[in-house]
Amino acid sequence: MVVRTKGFVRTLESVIAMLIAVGVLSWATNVVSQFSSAEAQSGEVDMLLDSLIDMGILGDYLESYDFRGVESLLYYTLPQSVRMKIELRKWTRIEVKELSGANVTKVLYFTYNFPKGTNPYSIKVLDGSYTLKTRANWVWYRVPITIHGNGSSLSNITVEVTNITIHADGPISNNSFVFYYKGRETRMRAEWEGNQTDRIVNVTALLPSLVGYEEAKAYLYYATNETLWNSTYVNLPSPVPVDYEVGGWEKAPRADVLFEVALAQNEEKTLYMEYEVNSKGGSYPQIDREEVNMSDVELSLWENELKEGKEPLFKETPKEVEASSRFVPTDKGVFRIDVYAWYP
Amino acid sequence: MGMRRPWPSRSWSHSQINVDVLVAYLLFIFFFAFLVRFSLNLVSPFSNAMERGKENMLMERVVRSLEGGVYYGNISRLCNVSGVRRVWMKVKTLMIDASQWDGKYVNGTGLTIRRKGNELTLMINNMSTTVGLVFPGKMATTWTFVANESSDVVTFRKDEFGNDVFQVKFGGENDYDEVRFHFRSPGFVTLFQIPDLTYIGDRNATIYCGKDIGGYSASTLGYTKLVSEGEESLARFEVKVWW
Repeated sequence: MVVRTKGFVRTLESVIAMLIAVGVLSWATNVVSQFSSAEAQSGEVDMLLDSLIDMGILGDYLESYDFRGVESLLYYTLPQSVRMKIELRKWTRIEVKELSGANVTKVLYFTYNFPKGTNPYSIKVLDGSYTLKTRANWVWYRVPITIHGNGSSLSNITVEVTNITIHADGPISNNSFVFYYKGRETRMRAEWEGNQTDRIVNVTALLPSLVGYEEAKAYLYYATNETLWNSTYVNLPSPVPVDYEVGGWEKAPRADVLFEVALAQNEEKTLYMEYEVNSKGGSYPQIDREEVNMSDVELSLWENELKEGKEPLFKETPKEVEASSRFVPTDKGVFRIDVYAWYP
Repeated sequence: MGMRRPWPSRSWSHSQINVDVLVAYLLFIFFFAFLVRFSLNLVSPFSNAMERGKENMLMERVVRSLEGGVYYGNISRLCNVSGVRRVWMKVKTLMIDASQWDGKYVNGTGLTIRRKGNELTLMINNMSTTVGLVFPGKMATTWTFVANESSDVVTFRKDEFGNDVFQVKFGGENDYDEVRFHFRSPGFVTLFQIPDLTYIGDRNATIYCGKDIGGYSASTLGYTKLVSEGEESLARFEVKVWW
């Protein structure tokens, strides 16, 4: 038997070429099917979000700014192997009115209580579709305090909380102390000793109510002297003795927001502040606090409540994953939620 | 004079196997098989295009009829979707609304959840199973075993989201077990799956829509609001439709 080498080599070449062709076809088929599976998964998340919105469950969690609760909803309802991350966006209304009767461009400011997990570089003030020059100064700190009821129903009582240890990374402003009780700012007086960055503070505050054996949450807020906030302290009646616990100081999700706006004479303008939770990135232009001029302008915020919910737990997402997005209208305004879901 | 033979006498024993020819035959066979397969793959999408179009249209109609809520006792209304000949549906209840009063939920294996006021009761008869319930932390839930034995166990933990998580193991095969959960505030209670065990919320239904079965079929899945015996819940469904 004679074997012709040339023919054998050509045959081998042909077979290899066929194998390569089949390989390429299989790869292309797999790629296409992967896309289809990703689309199916995205559709599943979309339908879940729609159901949660229709039943009002998602709105309930968002209204209380409980973003970890939102994660929990998705964690227990999506298939167990799915990993996910949520990002949120919220808008709040700002009313501005020019009072001097002139066309002006001014730098205005307000101090706002953000929810935990807010991206510090995501804050923008919007005039229609136009983004105004905006900067948020995160100069606030706080100390959590729990006040225990003694079994009776008390109203409009003065309490004194002593020996509160505070610290800041810069000199603490003497006029920045603010006392929040059950989510609302109350009348108060503060006295302190110590140096510029570390102090011991005694606070006297007027509490609207303390019922039964409730454990009421309060916060003492304070800021560095970078803040534009100016507290008013008042004299209060003699304090009633109550039990309380004082926590450690922490960075507060509260910031001074500075923005530049042009106003025509006597113009009333509705602006919106936008902020993001659990997102990354962003930067601010420089606006010096000396540029702020609040004279002859009236500024009011639609809401500025303390937002007590927990921030999201899951922070990371692969780059190639696309989000399922929904707008969720609530009594606290409109939220936009982006859900990234993927199989690891 | 020698006669010339009409054809040369060649015995196989002396033949030379021409590898080129053999390989050419093999190549031809491979190429032909490949060509047929490749051509079929190219042609099938076109030949099935009509059926695929019909499938897309039908599945869209089915999903639309499930969106916005479905009554468990009235799944047969899926038969009203034009062109459907048979429907199979699996429903997995994920969350029960504990803000409404007086509802009852029974899963496929006979486990009952009854909700009355600020109380959620799990009842099970003659069955061993383990079920999990997640109460949001703000519901401030406590629990009591009403009827139990040593093989019945409740474990409790706080999860990373701040929820109260209960795993209830009913051990006895021939007894009645009952455990009650009391909560202070209303909310949605999640039923979660414990691996390798019967899932608390599984329910199946197959509906014949009055016509013969067979032909083409397609399936899809999604989430919807499920209403059953006064109980409103969030459910994940899988639905398969024949046409």
